[in-house]
Amino acid sequence: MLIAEGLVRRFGPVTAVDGVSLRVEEGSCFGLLGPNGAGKTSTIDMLVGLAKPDAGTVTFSGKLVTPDDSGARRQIGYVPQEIALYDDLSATANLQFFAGLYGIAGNERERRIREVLEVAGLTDRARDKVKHYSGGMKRRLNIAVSLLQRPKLLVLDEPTVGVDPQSRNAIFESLKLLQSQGLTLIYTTHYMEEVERLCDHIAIMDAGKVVAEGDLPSLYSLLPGQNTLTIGAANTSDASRILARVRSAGFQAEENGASVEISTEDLSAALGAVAEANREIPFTSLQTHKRTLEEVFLNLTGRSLRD
Amino acid sequence: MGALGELVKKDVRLFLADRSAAIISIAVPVGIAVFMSMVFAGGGSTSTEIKPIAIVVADDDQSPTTNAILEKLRAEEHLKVRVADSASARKMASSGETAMAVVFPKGFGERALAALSGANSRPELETLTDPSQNTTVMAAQGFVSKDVVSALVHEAYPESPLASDGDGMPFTTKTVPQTGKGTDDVTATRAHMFAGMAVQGVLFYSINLAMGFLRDRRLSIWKRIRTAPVPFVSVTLAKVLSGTIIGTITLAAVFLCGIGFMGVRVTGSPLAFVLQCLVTALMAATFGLLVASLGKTEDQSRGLSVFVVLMLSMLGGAWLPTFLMPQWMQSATLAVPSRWAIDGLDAALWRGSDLVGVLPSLAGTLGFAVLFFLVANARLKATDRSA
Ligand SMILES: Nc1ncnc2c1ncn2[C@@H]1O[C@H](COP(=O)(O)OP(=O)(O)OP(=O)(O)O)[C@@H](O)[C@H]1O
Ligand SMILES: [Mg+2]
Repeated sequence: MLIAEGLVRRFGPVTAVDGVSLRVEEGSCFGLLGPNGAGKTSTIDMLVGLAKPDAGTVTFSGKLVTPDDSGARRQIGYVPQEIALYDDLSATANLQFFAGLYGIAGNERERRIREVLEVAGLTDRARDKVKHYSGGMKRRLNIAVSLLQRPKLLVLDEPTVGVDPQSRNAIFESLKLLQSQGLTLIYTTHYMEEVERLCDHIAIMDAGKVVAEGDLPSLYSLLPGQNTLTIGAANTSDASRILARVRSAGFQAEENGASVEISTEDLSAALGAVAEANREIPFTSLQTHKRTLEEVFLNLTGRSLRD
Repeated sequence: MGALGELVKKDVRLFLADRSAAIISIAVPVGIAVFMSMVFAGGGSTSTEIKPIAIVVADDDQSPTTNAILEKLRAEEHLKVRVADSASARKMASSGETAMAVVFPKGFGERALAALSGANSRPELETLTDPSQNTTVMAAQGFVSKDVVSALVHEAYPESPLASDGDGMPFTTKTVPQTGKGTDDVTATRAHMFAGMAVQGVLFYSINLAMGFLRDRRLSIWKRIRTAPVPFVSVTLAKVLSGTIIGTITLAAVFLCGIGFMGVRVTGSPLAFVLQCLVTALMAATFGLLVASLGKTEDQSRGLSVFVVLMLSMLGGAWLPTFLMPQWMQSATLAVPSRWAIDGLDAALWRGSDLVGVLPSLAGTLGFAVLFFLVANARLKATDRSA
């Protein structure tokens, strides 16, 4: 549906985007994950036709996306990273204005405004000035505006910054609903939980480059083991006995003080071996831990996502 | 309504939404214009009261002629004469205590009368002046010369009817202030102050327009507008249009206050006045767009543009009429857009000009508007995709 090839964007000496290629399938949710300054916004700007790439191309449904041609852009909804609303106007007045820019008028405009207010859960507050909204409400309206044009593709640039968990859940529910109705999403964030929850295809960006790409399982497979089992023992000699047991069952494990860490792809097989050991040696605790994209990023770049 | 209309409507809505800002942008020019009118043209009364000029006269001659001259000077309503000896007269002039001291040397009367009947040598009338009060001095010199000549004529031709009747001058004068019908110089001054402050007011509003533009860019509203299928020129044209509408509202409000409360009248062509208001608002709007195209951030541009607006107002004659400026400066201010706007408003308000008379100012103001728009549009377009 959307194909980007070899995108480059420079700001003077800084190469913000350095040869990024992406392929977004229709109906999917494509996550673009990266730390501050990775080049996410600069990439998005080119995807939606706001900026001309210094090299590379973007096509949407086979049509070239360029700043000078509004053909493809009409079908792409865009949610800027900042809250791009007029504080002194009501939600309705904001929506009327932005709908007008897309040539949506009359009853159709009123209908769509009602519709997106419903999605954003702001129907009751539609007449209030935006400056009286909470941060989460502004974020929801920020997204709602871009739905007015009924886009085929919605590009969201960090849409949940400064939003409490409840509002975030509301936003996710709406996005999932929209996706189930056929909307394609490109979702940019530096919160890995968000892409883990929402996205089926993920590209991890760092310093202008895509360092890894794929669905969740394939990204996790970049790590030595997907899951970690941590067993707490009464003392170090117990821990050593557990370690020997687990290793002899063919699992990769490390001793760490009075605890043992097992890394495995196959969680149930590992649990079997652990249960076996537990029959002879008492545990004080048992924890399973799923690997995260955070660790994938750490493993790839040697740095943390949030610095 | 197209995207252009939507953009314009939104800007006007924003202007009206911030009611206190809207009121301030009207109240400030009115307030300053009223204040300046009072300073320069007296309070509520419309009569022109000129304070008499204080001068010092020393008569070293003590002749009947100089006595007659002194009498005339004392009778002069615009002068307040104090007699002193020549030494203290000099002292007072050099200390600035008086604007002007006049010294009649010994033998002045006799020699002046002789010169009047053809003698070659003329006596010297010495005037000592305070250079910081040039205009006052010039006015005083006029009265003194007139009274001296008048007294001499009286002495030389006692039979002439000139001597017995009138001020002794061989001609009479009639003063006709060149203002429109029904305007005296006080209302003309007030009208000028309102014209000047109205223009300064719309220029100040144009800074708001520029700041709004830069804020939109900072908040990514610009990105949102630019992803919509709207031609670039519609976005800039809409800013100019909404700025013109709001500027016209401001001008109308300021002049209505002037007409309602301060006796300002449109003595020239009303059509010319309305047109001049429109192009003035247009020029201010394009000026705002130009500021936006040159600025990067609001903080950085605000202070500088306030300074520029103050300069434009001053050089354009908003504070003091341009005809009070030195000649070279008057020519230089032709390069200042506000000069054309204020001249045009002056012409239509109190000079009583018809449309043809206002045309040069209309054309000049419009010319600046077109120039500003072209430059601003080109600059904004160039930075749009690379910013
Ligand atoms: N207009 C600009 N002028 C100069 N440099 C820029 C500009 N925009 C971005 N950059 C630089 O390009 C790099 C990538 O910035 P970008 O905003 O694309 O990152 P990001 O991944 O969106 O970061 P964040 O998570 O903070 O939004 C940064 O080094 C940034 O400083
Ligand atoms: Mg960003």
